[in-house]
Amino acid sequence: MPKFLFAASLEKEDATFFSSLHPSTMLIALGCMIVIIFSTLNFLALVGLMAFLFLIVVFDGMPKQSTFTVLLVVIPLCFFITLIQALTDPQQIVARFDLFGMGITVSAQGALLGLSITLRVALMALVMTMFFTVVHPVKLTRALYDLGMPFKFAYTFVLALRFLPLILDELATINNAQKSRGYDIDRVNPAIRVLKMFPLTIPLILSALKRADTIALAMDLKAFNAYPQRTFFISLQKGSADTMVRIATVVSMVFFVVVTFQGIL
Amino acid sequence: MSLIEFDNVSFRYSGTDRMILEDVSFSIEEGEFVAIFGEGKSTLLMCICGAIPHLLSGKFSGQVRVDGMDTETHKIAEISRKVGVVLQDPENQLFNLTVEGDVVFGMENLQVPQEEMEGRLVDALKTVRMSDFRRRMSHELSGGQKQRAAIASVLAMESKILVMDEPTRELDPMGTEEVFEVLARLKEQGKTIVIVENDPEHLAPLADKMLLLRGGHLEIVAEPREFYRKIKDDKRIRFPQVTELYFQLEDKLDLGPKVPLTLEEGVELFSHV
Repeated sequence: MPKFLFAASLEKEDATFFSSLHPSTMLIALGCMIVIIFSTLNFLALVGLMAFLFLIVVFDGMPKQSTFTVLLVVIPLCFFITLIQALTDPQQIVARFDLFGMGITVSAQGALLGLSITLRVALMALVMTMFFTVVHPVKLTRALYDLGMPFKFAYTFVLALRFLPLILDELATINNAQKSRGYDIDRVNPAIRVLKMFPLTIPLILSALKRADTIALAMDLKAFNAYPQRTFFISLQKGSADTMVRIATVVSMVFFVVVTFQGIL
Repeated sequence: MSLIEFDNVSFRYSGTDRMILEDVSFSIEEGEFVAIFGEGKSTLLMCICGAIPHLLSGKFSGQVRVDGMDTETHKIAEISRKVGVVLQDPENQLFNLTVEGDVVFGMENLQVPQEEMEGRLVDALKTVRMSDFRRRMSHELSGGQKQRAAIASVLAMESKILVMDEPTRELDPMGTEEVFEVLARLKEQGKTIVIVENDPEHLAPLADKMLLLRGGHLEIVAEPREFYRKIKDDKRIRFPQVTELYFQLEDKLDLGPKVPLTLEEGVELFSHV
């Protein structure tokens, strides 16, 4: 189970304020946050948003380490985005130098734009991680079904999460089997490792296909998707907190968009 | 009327000419524990649960009736209300994140009312002694626990018949012991169980009837003692150790006609020699 799936591994599913909310409330909040993030490239506004999300993570009691770890994953991408923007933007040049006979310029505006795009990427990664940290996958499936999504599609997410650890285990087994035959992919540089991974994917895909067949049979034998309607063991209820959060996020989004398009941000 | 009836059932898989089942006829009564051996045993199980002819492609003829339903004319969902299936690999039968999610999965599909589910869930977990594991993540369980959770998931569907295809094949001895302990309890409760399994020590004392398939034909249908006597020279089938010893010594010692199936029966028999 991926570490960021905090909600899925909780004994008590409403352990934090946000995890106790209705999943559709969290879907609305997620949608609003995405609109806000994409409505502006103002550096300070994005920094403010990041600080706001940090506060939510800390005060809501979400697991900090696994939530923030995702930011480390996007750092290399962010670095390259900023570098490319700084070196390619023709305005507000703050430095010029020669590299192997080529004239290189560094743009302050480009660097700022790069940092803003970087923040946008990091914010997207953070809000998605926060969403899956607090929304239990089973509750999300139920909510999506209630919103009209066919169950077989809504259920795909839970099924993928269930079998992800198995596929990783299988990959580890195949890797170990190949290592015992002298095909070691762990002691080579990352680029060669990627190339050497390809032969390992063939048995992995074959075993995954075989497993998928058996799973499909087992699911059919339990009448999966046999009837157009189904009942649910869990019930989802909306409370006053849901209404508050929905209003707050929608109002914030409208405010942010209006302010941005009026040129204030 | 028998609970399960096979009437001249024949089947071959698509793309092959080999008949896996050929004119197979037999019946199973309610509450019986039936073990199947030989070639084509898993195919026979797939006929009981309706996977053949609905899900696995091939040429099917004859008739299989389960609790009066013709499996060919009834949908697999209708058959699944009568027949619960447990397959070899427990990993492929637990689709949800938690044990609770897996046990209620079949009930949700069958549109069991929400207020009825809790009771069935508790009963099923109690039967397989998994009540304390209700909220545990499925991938954290041991092999035996996973297989017990898979059994609980079909028990919660309240199927009359439990069909099991080598349920302990991928389990360690501890897991095997756990599964057979559950099966013994289910037999006591009167559940009809049809099983394919290669563990004679556990199987022989539980089985009411044993079936042997050879070359697509049903060769033997008999109660265990008679079954082992009929196949005593067949090296392809494993015997309980005490039964094997009996057959090796019965010509040399005066052991009587009763074939022992358990260690206790063996001790009783050999202590009088």
